[in-house]
Amino acid sequence: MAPNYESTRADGIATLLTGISGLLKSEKFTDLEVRLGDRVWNVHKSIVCARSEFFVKACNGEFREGKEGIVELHDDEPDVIDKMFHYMYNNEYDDADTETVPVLFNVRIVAAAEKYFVDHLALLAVSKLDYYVEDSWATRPFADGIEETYTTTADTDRQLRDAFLEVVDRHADELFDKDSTRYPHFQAMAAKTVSFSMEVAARLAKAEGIRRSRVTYRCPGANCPMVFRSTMKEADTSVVRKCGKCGLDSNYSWDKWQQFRTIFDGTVIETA
Amino acid sequence: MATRGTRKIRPPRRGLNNGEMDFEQTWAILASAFTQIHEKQASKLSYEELYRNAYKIVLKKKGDELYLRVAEFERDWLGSEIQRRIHKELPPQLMNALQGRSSAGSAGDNQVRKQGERFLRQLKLAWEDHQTCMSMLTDVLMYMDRVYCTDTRRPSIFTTAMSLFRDCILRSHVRGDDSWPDICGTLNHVILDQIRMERDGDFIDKHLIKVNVYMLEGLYDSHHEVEEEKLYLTSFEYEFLASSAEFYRALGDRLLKESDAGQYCRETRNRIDEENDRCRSTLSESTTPKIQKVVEDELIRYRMKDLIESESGVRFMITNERHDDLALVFDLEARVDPRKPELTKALQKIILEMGTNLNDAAQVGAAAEVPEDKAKAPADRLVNQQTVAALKWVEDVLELKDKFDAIWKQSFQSDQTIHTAIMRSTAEFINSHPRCAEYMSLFIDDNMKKGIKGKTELEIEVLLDKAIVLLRYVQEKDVFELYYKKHLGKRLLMGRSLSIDVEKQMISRMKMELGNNFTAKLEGMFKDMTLSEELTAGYKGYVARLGDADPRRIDLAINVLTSMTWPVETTNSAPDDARESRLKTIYPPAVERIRQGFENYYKEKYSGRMLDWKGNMGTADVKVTFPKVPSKDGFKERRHELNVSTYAMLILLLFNDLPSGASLSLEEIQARTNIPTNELVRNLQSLAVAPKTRILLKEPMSKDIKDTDKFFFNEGFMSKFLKVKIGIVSAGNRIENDRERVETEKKNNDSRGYAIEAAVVRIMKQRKELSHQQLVTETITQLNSQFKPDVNMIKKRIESLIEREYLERIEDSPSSSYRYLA
Repeated sequence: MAPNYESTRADGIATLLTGISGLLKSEKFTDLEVRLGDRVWNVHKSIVCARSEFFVKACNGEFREGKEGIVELHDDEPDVIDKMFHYMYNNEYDDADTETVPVLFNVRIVAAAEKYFVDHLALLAVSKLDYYVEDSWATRPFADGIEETYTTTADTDRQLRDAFLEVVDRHADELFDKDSTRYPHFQAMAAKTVSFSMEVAARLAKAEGIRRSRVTYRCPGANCPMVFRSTMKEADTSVVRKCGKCGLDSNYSWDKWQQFRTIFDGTVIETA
Repeated sequence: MATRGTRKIRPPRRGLNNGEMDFEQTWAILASAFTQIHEKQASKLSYEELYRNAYKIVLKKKGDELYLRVAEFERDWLGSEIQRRIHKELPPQLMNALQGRSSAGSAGDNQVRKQGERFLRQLKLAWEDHQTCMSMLTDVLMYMDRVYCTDTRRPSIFTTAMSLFRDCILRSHVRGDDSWPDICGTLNHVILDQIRMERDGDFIDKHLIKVNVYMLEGLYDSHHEVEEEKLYLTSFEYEFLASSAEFYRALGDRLLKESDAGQYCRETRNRIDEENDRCRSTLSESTTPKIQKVVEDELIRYRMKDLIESESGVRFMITNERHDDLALVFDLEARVDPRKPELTKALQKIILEMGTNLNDAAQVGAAAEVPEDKAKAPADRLVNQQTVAALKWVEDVLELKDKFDAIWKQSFQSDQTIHTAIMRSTAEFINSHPRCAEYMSLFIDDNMKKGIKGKTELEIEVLLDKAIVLLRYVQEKDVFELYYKKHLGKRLLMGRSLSIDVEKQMISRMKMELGNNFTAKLEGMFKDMTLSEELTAGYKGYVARLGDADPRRIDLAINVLTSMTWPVETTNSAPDDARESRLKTIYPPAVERIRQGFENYYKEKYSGRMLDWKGNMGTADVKVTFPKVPSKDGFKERRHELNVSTYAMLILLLFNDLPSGASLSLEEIQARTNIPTNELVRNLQSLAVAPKTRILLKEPMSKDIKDTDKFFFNEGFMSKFLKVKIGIVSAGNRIENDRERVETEKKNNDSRGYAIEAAVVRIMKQRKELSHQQLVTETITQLNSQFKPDVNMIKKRIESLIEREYLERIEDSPSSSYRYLA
């Protein structure tokens, strides 16, 4: 029987990937040395350049790195760099065996992925982070994670920010409790990280708008079944409405309208 | 989850996010590195360090400031150092030379050229350096480009740096002097100067120019990087095209004056190729179609007419068979206009002229009109001359056509437009010859009688093809049919055709070309001939069966011709003979008996048919015994077999009963035979005037035949041959004389009248009502394949149809219209 094309191909790809994974550990044929403090990684230009634009430019030859075959990094956390290289060879990394708690660690992975232009790594890190973020909302690493997100990653990175903001939304009443001793780390961070606080405020304001637009009133006319939706605010002194069914003209303040408020049951007929 | 709580919690890394970053300090690191990069001292620099510093600035939201500082850095660098290096290569001497070209002696020219090249080299260097440096800076500033520029929609720093090169270098003025063109303008001048030198046959450094062009192609007029705003297009290309137009205009003038048309074409083609090469090797391929158009405009489009009409132009090429040159002319004009209007026009004019010359020559050949009833012999000679001229005309036309066919195939790539033009002009001059249809028919006649003798089947095939091709051109197909019928009729009746097979082939070709209608009557003629053979044989058998085997019986070979099919009248008589021809010819009893016998036989076979005997068209073999005269073999009778026309036979038979020495006058002969006067005169001329066949003697002996002339049997007739053929004067097919032609025309007009009426009735029957204009148009369309109807004739026919109540005028119609009356 002829070999199955698809499975043969898949086998080939698997062999290739296994081979590449083995390369990092064995340190065979390496042609680039990456240093960070006292840590050293011996890697392959062909692999790291395929995954990172930063290494492409660094190895290009015009600068010192290209001539010496050594890239010296600064300011980074060795564990993060280690996982980054691991990812380059394996398309995967483990966040459970690091000293830093995963919520924070994965934020740092995102920052490194952006700094060194490692494609797809940031997305992987966000998806890992998503797993821990809900359970850690009350912890200090949660607050630290947010702070680092807003100071070390690009504003354009929405996925990472949204992962945190959705959790903050759900626990906003507690996190922003008037008693500042309950979540001191969070509140200190919020006070300092203005761009974060602005985004929280914007989301709350938007949610309020949506809530209000869901409020429904019934027609003041006797026995009129008409129900309508309104976004009227407490400050409104005169809200005019002509009923499309009984033709009644009503003009009341927000206060007065509240006695006609009904529970929205999905049978809204009009919007005013 | 619980296990994770036991982990050590690290505080945020203070070094990066909270640590203060001093912008000026960081920028100083970058700026110093950038200087080293521009000075080509980059090999000691660490990419990581530079990248990290730029990264930090952007992360600290200072991307905007970084961006501006880099741009400022580049502006400074280009505006001082690089500008100085380039301006240095533009000494006043070069600038002057580029402006007013006047001072350029050849030595000065060479110096200017060297200076220009140095300028180009310096600019090339500056551009290449700028590219290299900026690509390194872009690498360092990668994070700024990706994060800051994308977020704020600024152009990449590379793009900005390229515009800076344009502003600080290309738009700068040497020594700040606005009265000179800026560097960009100067660059144009230098490049155009180099191209001028190359066009004049010099060698130039193409690569050097190409690099500079490449620079112009990489830069834009404004910061919107749109295709149409490439500096190459906005600054250089326009000037290049304008100066090229000027160059080729002058070249065109010179070439027209100094070269012949063939050279002109070759030079033009070379120039076009050269410009294409130049675009590829020196400029930009995007310019290829544009410069091609310039060269085509200046050397072809605006010049084609002058070129074609020049002394060494198309006429010269055709006369001298310069097929390659003609191909060049064709090729050139085809480039600028697929319809090739000038070449087409010229060809048509030339063909028309050559054709008109042929027509005129034929006219001269046939110049002397045939004088009516003058001395016959010279008149005949004239007629023969004219016939020869007619045949020559057809052959010349064929030759002309072959010549242009050959040119068309060899030089004009069998182009359809040209073909149509050649066809049209050929048709025009052929039809402008009033007797073309007659000549064509004569040509075929001549070939059927003589031409195909000894020719192979293939040669005959070619000949037939030629005849058909010519026929295609003849507009008045009906006139041709008339002549063809007449000529064919004579060939068949007198057995003059060399091959009935070839005749039939000709007919089947005509059938394919012109349709069944055209050949129906011609085919009828062949059918009659076959039927007549059967009749003759049948009659012979019939006579034999009667048992009346009289050895002195006259043998009869008969041709029964369907009167509508055969052109009997034309061969018969002129109008003034109408009265006479109604008289019945009197046959002597011996002949009359046979005539009756056949008529009986025929009527038995086909009852109800009328036979009308045509004495003028038959021939008879007559055995004549002449009295004894002394000869070298002794004293004996002489017998001769005379082949004469039927009428001549009747005349001779009269002398059978006459005592020796008696005579008959013309009037007597006529009274006893009823032969029409003109036929009688003709036959008597053959019998009594023509020197070699003088069977009768005439008194007085003169060439003219008069009513009172007396005729005697020539007992002393002598001939070396046993068989003597007494030809009737002008029996063969030859050109018509004027009188005959008038009649042919009249006949043709009559038949056209019928054809027009038939067409009008056909159209009206279908359309019921129609305006005059439409009716005329449709009639012309319907009849076009036969002939080109005359509008006046159509009007007359319509009038006549109205009179006969086939049509009526529609009253109150805004335009005159007709209604069909069923």
